[in-house]
Amino acid sequence: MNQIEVENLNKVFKVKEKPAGFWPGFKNVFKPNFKNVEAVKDISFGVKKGEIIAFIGPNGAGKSTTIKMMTGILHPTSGKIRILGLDPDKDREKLAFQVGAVFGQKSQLWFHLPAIDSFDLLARIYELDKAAYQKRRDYLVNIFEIEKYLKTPVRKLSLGERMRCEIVASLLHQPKILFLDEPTIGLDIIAKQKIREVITKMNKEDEVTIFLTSHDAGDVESLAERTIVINFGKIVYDNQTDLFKKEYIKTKTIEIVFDKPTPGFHTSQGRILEKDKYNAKIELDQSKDDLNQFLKETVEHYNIKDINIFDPSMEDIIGLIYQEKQQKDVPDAKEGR
Amino acid sequence: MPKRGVKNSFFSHFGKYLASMKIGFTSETIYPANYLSESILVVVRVAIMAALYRISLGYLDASEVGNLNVAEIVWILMITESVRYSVFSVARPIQDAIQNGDFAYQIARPYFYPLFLLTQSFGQSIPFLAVNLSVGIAACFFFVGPFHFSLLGLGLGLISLFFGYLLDSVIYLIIGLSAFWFENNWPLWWIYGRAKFILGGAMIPLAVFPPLLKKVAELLPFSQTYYSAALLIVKYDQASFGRFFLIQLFWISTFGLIATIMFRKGLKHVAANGG
Repeated sequence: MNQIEVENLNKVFKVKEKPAGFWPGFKNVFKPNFKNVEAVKDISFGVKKGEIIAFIGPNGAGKSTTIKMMTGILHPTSGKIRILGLDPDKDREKLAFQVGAVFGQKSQLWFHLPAIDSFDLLARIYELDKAAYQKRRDYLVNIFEIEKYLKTPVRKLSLGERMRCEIVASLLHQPKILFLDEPTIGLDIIAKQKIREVITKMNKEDEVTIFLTSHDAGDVESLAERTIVINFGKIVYDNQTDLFKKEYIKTKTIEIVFDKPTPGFHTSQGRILEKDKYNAKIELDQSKDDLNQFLKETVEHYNIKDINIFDPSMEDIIGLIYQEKQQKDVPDAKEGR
Repeated sequence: MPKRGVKNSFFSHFGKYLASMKIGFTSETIYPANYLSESILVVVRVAIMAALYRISLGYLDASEVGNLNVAEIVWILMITESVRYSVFSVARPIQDAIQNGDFAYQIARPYFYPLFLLTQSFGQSIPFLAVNLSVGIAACFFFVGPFHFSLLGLGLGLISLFFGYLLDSVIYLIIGLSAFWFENNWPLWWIYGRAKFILGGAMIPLAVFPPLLKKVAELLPFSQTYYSAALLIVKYDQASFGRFFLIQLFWISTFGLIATIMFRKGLKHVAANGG
């Protein structure tokens, strides 16, 4: 049985429009114009217990709106949502005891106080038994390795450290489902890796279902078993992540900064996109090039000052999905004639 | 899921509000310089009021005005002002949450958000209240000496102070919630602040007002926040306590109803448009 059931979900926002110019603007004060914005259009999916789902898409695709409807923050315009058998819109408080949520850009920790004070408060909010709470907290503190800054005011933590504390805060009441909205946004590669590791660990050890939104293709690769892509409010892809990677995360772009002028840079792996004396930009096709081999070769032969590895942007991935859809649709249309 | 406390009991529900008060208190004890520097103002205010009323009564060649002597006037104004400046309004956090979109996230937790904010702001106010009142009492003893103290007056005055705090908080809640409809609700802050200062007995005790104005001002909510309580503590009389109590209850119920309607409308607004 699915823990999350979403059927024909729609969300339309009414947005006030202000026309340009003085007179139209003045008239608008007395007779305001509204336009309907369809943020989510007729989406359906189900999530089983213990799954890690990546719900991805570019900015403004409808990811956060969907997560807000699933946590009872927003009221759907139409359609049905069942989370653990409950309707989030009607049973928000009951549901709050069974799900956790981390919104990457909103903190649930007290800024000037150490995280442990916020944890104590959340334990009271979720009406946890004191001994059980302390046991759970110690367990999470250990897994997330946050012991050394548990008593440091949150404002003094790095973004990565703070994000780990945020996730611990959302797991204290042992939710069955954890909603993570952009948990790695703004983090450096090491911090991202750490967050991904602990999310995977929690999923395995606690069997917590993870519903993750992101526009970082790296999150999808490292975490999710299944990927749903949303664009302009519609689901454009829903399949296993392995397949998704094979089809759409085909390339990696590597930017290298050399320590000294290296005009003769060359490599047996990938394709050089740009190069000058101090910089080179290389594209690796993951189906034939080996990233490890590339890194080994490059480090052995050149003096590297800095190196960055990029996944394709969400916009590129969406572009590929549409391109493929169009290619599939054209033969169909021909067959129909 | 870790075992919940005494499931669904009054204590487990109420415990979260006590915890919110505690964290509010803790968060304000981090920067003691804040309330210590504010307490300097209390001393200055007491010194100015003592000088002002001594000169004024001396000019009138009277030892009392409105049945109050200089010491009583200064004690009343000190209590009214110290409490007024110590209280953290719930308007600011609620207004900020509405404007930056946090409101939608905060109401998703299992608590009654306005009560959570109220207890939190009460906790934040405690260190300021303790320091400002202690410094104010010391300053009053130094500049005007003691007043005729009554234990009953203190007890009933503290009850009135509690209801006054509730009234003040409910009005601030309304001002905060108005952010759903007004992008800039500063005029409401300004009007309420000035009304409390002039008609709320923070500048001139109501006892000194002309009889008709005094009666009207007593019936309005502004003086029922902290002035009435201060008057009961300094110059207790039983009839006043009953009258003040009824006026406070009337305003708390009226504004409480308005705040509830606004909060429900705000929730619908958030559910429809996300804040």
